[in-house]
Amino acid sequence: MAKKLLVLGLLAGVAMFVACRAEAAKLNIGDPAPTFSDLIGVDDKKHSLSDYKDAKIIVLIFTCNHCPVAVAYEDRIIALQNDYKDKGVQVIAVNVNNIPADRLDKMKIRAQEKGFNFPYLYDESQKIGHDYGAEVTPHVFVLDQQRKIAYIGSIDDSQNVQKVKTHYLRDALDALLEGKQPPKTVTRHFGCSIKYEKK
Amino acid sequence: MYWRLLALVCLMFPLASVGGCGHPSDYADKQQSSLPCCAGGGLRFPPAEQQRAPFGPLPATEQTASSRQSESQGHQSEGQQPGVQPAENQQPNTLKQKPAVDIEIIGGPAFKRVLKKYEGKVVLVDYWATWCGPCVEMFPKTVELHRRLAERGLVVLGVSMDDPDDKPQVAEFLAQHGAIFPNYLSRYGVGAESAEAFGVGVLPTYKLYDRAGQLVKEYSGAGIDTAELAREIEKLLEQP
Repeated sequence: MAKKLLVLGLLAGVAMFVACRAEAAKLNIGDPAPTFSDLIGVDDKKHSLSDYKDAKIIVLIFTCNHCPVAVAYEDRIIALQNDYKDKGVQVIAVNVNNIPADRLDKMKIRAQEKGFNFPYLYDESQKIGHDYGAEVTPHVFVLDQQRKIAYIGSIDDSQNVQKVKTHYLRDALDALLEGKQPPKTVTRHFGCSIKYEKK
Repeated sequence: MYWRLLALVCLMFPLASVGGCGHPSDYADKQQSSLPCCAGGGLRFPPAEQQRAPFGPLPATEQTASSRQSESQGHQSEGQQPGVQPAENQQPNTLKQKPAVDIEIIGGPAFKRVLKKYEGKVVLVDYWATWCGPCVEMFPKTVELHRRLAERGLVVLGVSMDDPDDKPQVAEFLAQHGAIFPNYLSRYGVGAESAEAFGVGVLPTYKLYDRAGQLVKEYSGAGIDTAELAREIEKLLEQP
């Protein structure tokens, strides 16, 4: 009897541990960045994190086509890539939504219309979204040279360009490029919720 | 059926206007001029009777009084019952009119004070935005919860995370949905500053507070189980 209870208790403990681990899938600053490989891009090529090993810093942005907030940030992302390209910063945009407006064919159209100057990848399996704990579009993860998470959150503090007071992402990049800690390593992410499929 | 259509229209508008050019400011500019009339300024806390009334035959309260845009103004008269005041402005409702809704533009600290005010009640806050598809889809559920459970002591508050410039559009949406509970609009507009101030990242987010003012449940994202939400509310309502 006592043995049985002990086993049960142990099992419960393990179950709780597993449950907690599952809950804590969210990344923290300093965590190694989850890797990804062979994600199809709007260029019809496959992209892996290792393809970008020359980049000093990677800005991974979860975004999509249909979301007005994500759309409002497109120009800012293009400008960011332009401004930081020579400093060794590589933007990678990823979409994991599978609704018709966000699928690869539509992504291609959008990328062309806007002239995206960064890879725009599609993960139909949504795995990369789960791995990073991405919740909204746009949701930003900055990977430092060691490919550790250095910043998580928003691009800036307002969707309305004219109302932006703090450029969180640019501030973080500037600091990282100088070998410093970003002034804010985590900001509130804000946007349209990513449509994860129920398993 | 009807609300689905509405939802689509409401969703399409920002999409259409932001989509082409990518300057979000254009969106605000365009919208500002389109519907200048529907903003009801003053009515912050509708009197209990009005809150409970079914949303059909409510009188329209076109507020002419200056709208309470600033936080501090909106909270001067703690002692009075501000909700009584608009009764003077009531007009006979001969035409088939939408119910009166009210929106106050508000910041984080002021909203905390609002929540404090409702201690002793079960409070459901719906954080939403007209540009957020799932929010628009869920909104009728919020209205229904209010309609069904307000009498039993549920307080429903809506906080829109649209641009303050789009207040007329938000008001229009609320009126169309019969959202006669107190409604607020984040003064910080769309973006992380709003998210920070209200502690909300994903829209929609429902926050449910018990009578002690403690946050007990939080639901967010697309695909919220509204049946579970309703059960949780009812459970809290049963507690003294």
